[in-house]
Amino acid sequence: MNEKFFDILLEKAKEAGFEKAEVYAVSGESFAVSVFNGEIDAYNVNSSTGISFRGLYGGKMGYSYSEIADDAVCEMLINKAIESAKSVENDDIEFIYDGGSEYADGSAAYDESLNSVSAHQKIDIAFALEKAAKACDKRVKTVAYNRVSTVSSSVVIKNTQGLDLKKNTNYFVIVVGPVVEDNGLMYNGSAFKMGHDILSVDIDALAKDAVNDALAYIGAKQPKSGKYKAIMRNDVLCTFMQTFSSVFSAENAQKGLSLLAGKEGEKVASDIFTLRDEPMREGCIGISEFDDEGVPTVDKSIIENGVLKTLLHNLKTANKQGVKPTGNGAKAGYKSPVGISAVIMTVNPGEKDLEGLAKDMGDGIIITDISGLHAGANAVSGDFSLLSKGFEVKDGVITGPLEQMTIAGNFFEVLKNIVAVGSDMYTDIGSAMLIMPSVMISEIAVAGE
Amino acid sequence: MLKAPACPAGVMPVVIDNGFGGVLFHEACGHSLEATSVSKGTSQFSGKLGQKIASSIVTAIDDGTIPNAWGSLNIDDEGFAPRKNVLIKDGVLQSYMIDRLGSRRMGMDPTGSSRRESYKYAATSRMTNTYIAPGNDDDAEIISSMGDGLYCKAMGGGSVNPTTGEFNFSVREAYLVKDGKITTPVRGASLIGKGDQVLPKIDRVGKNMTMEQGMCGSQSGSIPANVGQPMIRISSITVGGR
Repeated sequence: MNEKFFDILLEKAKEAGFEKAEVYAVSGESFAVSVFNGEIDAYNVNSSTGISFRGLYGGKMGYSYSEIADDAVCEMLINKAIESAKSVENDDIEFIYDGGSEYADGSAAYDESLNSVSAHQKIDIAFALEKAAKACDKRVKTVAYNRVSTVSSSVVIKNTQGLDLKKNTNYFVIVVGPVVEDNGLMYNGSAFKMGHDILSVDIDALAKDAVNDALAYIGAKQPKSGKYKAIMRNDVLCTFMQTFSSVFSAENAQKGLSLLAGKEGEKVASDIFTLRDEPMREGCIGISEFDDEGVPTVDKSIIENGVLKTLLHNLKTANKQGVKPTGNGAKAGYKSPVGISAVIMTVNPGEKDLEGLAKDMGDGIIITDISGLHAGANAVSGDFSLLSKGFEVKDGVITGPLEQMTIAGNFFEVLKNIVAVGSDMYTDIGSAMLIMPSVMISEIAVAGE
Repeated sequence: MLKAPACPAGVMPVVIDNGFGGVLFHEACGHSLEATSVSKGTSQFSGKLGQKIASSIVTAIDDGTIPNAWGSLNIDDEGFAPRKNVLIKDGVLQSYMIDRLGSRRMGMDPTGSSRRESYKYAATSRMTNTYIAPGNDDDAEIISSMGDGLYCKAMGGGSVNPTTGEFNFSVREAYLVKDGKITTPVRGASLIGKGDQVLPKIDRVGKNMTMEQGMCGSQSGSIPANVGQPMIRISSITVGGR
């Protein structure tokens, strides 16, 4: 990125009458290869740059965007932002963050060695993965998807108030989705791995995980409808918390769209449940030392021992509520306005692994898959009714797979009904990173036969 | 709906009203007929051309040529003219939706079904305006002869796993039916099932077909697609509730 251009732009913005101005730029490169039946099925190389300019003009914040970062677009960016500022009608106060804060060292988010892995090496991994998955079990019919990708991106925030920040992130993601066939029925499974050290990934183990995931559901039955004790497996809890994560946004609370509005200091979950946002969590590839407004991020409890400690804030919502910002200002893309997101959402682990939890549960179900989240879950009311898969547990032992069931309930009730937290941590990536264990819930409504 | 009790859970007959109710077919069957999964052999309908996959009163069509319709195309995103593709006729599978790559894999002609959200996506086989054709049944009779069950007036969104055929969708407005009469509204209902098991259970198809607009998300991004159907009845399906 041409960072000199940012200085010129900010200088010209001041001349044009902006009181304060800021450039937010993101540039990135991504690579992805998929293999199907021993042939390369898709090969993508993308490189993109986007810059977002914003500034206070007549007390209102105007925004403009460009995918080109050179002098030719200076005037356009400034004029468009003035037009945008002039058309703002609401009275929300928006901020440009001052420099001078202390920032943690987030350099571990980037690993130079990943960039030196060649396209050839990544293609080889994709071929090896498909082969390994097919070799796992004779019931493997095909590998529906199998993709090796790497992403590298950098964010720059620079403004007229002395802020001058840059961070680099890179990682790889490998996913594999085999399909197994048994008795005329097909089942699919999946597994993924992400991190920095792509060459040390155990391909055979990953393929085996994915194939076992599919094999586990062979002969699945539909359970009887009723209320069950349930364990949400760690990967399901990640998906579940991600789906309802907007309830922790102060912006939604202030708009009356979160039932947690005004509940700080109150008990909202079971005593044994602690939910945290840990943007600088050690050893995690998604770490970030500043948010998309340039505010330093901070590790904190959202819910501690069942009590709501804080909602997640950006500069605007913190000012409105008269609290300190929490470093959770987040843009979904360079063109998006600043919203709110956790960075690395975690649940503090308990003592027992999944097997131990099942043993303690006695009779019940383990939920291992939920789907239809965009339609069957409502973050405003907390109500959900979701297609699920899982396993039946009797006397503390898994007795068989379950399918064609729904689980239904309310997010806020589930938080209160958590009776045990596991020690088995799973890492997932969504709009934020999630690192969570399995949890046991005292009761959930299941629809089946 | 504010005071509506939660929908009861279980297996029961379900009537789905016309219009957006067509999302049932879109999810339960449409996605599984796209070359994306058919050509890899990972669709539950792979290799089933000419076989009976639905009740004989079901005819389903994907038609990208309807003038001014939300999902219509002038040309598809690989340059082919759109067509009226009869997918299922009288319960028998007639055609898939096929893009150029799928065409090469399957040894079949493309069907004018290649679509993508933007230049950032590779085009693949997608739906356009997809609907269940009108049948011969009378709406009032469809409900009065159903016994106890659920009447779904307005559907929400849904999704499907084309490999297993497992679909789910949420119901925005539903009423319990007792002894053939619509009674109390219920909230939080969802319908789940497997496409190949539900299609043969469609036992009534009404006369009044309408279409509604939706956005369909898949491999090649989010695209406008129409869903449609007359009122239909499924003799038994799993209803999610609490």
